[in-house]
Amino acid sequence: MSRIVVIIPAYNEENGVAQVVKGVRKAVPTADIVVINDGSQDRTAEEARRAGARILNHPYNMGYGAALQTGYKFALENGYHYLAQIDADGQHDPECISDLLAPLLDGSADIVIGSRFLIDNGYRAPFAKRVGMLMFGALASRIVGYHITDPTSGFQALNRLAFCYCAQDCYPTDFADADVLIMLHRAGLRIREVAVRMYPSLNQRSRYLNMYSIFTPAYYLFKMCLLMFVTLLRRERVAREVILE
Amino acid sequence: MITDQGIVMSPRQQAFALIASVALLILIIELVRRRKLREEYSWLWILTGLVILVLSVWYGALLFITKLIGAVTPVSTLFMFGILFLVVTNIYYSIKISTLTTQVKNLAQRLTILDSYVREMRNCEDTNTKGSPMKDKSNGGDEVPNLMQCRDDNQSLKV
Repeated sequence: MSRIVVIIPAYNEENGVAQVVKGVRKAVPTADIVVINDGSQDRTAEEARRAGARILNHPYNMGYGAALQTGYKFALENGYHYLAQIDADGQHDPECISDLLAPLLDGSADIVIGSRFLIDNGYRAPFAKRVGMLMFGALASRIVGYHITDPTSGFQALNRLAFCYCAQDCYPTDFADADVLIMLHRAGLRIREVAVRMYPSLNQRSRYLNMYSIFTPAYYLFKMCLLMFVTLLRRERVAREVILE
Repeated sequence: MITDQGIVMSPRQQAFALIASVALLILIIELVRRRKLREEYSWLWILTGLVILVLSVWYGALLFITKLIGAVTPVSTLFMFGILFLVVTNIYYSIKISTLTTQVKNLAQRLTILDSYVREMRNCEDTNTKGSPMKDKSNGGDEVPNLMQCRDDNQSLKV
């Protein structure tokens, strides 16, 4: 039987994390649930533990990407076959995890991204975010050769090959964006999008998952242009070769 | 001092440059001796000290370099190389910091995962010996559910 793990990176999410953990448990009862507590100052770890999740405590705040990568490394070491990641702020609907896992289970994709834009579900992103997603989504779509509507979505599922690759040092420690999708595509991994439901964040003060509120649009623009440019200049090693080593 | 050869270093300037370079070299060697500075970081500074030393005693070399790079005065050559050196050292340290950041991140992630195994093993031991779930003292005494069910085959405890 395939072993599935659901990882939930969390930073100061004491209000929402328990609800998310319970939702995941209900939606995928066979999966192990791991909350990566990224140096929270509140009771995130306790709340998640009470809700029945296994906790990985970062010694200090290391960033969203690093928290995800800790989850990948954990999944790698513990022999999981499939991994789903979901945000702790209640934005993502745990019921959609099975939709994300389906293309992995039938072997048609290595990475599945939950997109909020494939169907009109009433979600309206802030202006700066919308412009960024449209621009870099279009650019990434052109490079990878198929349409990507939601490159910044943290609601994803990966098979073992994909999370083995993401456990390498090439994975960014802050926010995975369109540049990472290009990197993964060039490493020979098959990416697919499926439609998911998304809600406004439960934690309105959440600064962890909303990169657009941390970076000014100008810095984000600069960072993404530079990252996409250097990603194209790099020679990515094919994922299968990395895993075989 | 201006002569028919151009601007020349006065003996006072030469003495100052000589003292400064020798002092820098002594300082670097002393720091390495006291293990305050690692050998791998010292080579760049020793190189700088030696270059200043050579240029201060061998003025012809400085004039030659000035002519070679098309600078107007030897002083501007010195300034340019000084700034160039600072830029190179900064890039060198940025590379070192980037490497260290990755290494610290990897260590912290390793620590995180190992820490979870230790907690799990303690829970298992406690459940096996006392027959009751352990109170996790590091988290304010909350009850810790034994999620991995203390597997006998230790599949999940590949430490």
